[in-house]
Amino acid sequence: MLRDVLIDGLLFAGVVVVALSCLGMLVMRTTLQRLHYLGPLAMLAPVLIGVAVACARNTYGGAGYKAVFIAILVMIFAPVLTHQTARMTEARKDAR
Amino acid sequence: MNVWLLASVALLLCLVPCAIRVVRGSIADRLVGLESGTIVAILALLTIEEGLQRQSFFDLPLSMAVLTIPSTLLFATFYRRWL
Repeated sequence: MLRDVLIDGLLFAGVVVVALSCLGMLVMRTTLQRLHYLGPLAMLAPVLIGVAVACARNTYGGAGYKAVFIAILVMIFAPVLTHQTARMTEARKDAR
Repeated sequence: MNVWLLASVALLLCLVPCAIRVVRGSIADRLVGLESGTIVAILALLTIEEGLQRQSFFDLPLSMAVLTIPSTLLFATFYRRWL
């Protein structure tokens, strides 16, 4: 019972973080402002949803590990990508 | 329909702002939309897998995370240096 509430709570929080990040990315004016909304989307949402999937599996088998691995992969790559996009934006600004 | 499939529907709806960002604005804006859309799609595939209880579906978000994010990174680097 408590486990189900925990899983539903984590899943709901993950979906809310994704929705707010996407809306923020849509309404912001500049590219750098939009890039800030990739932070919670890339660092918070994968953890919340990945842990929810791992808890729901209730096994120490492959699927739970894979969900956590995917979350870690996104958490490693996405900040690098955000940084590179910001550098690209600044470089293009300088080039103009 | 269980809670996982409801979450996946909500996540798929979150792809709409990303798609709007991809089709409008500068190239950097479009790249931001592509990045966020990729992450949302990975998370949506995770929840769809859990909702349908198909363990083989885990390979799809895994390969997407491995391939798509570095390729976007490569594109950003290429665009910054040479285009």
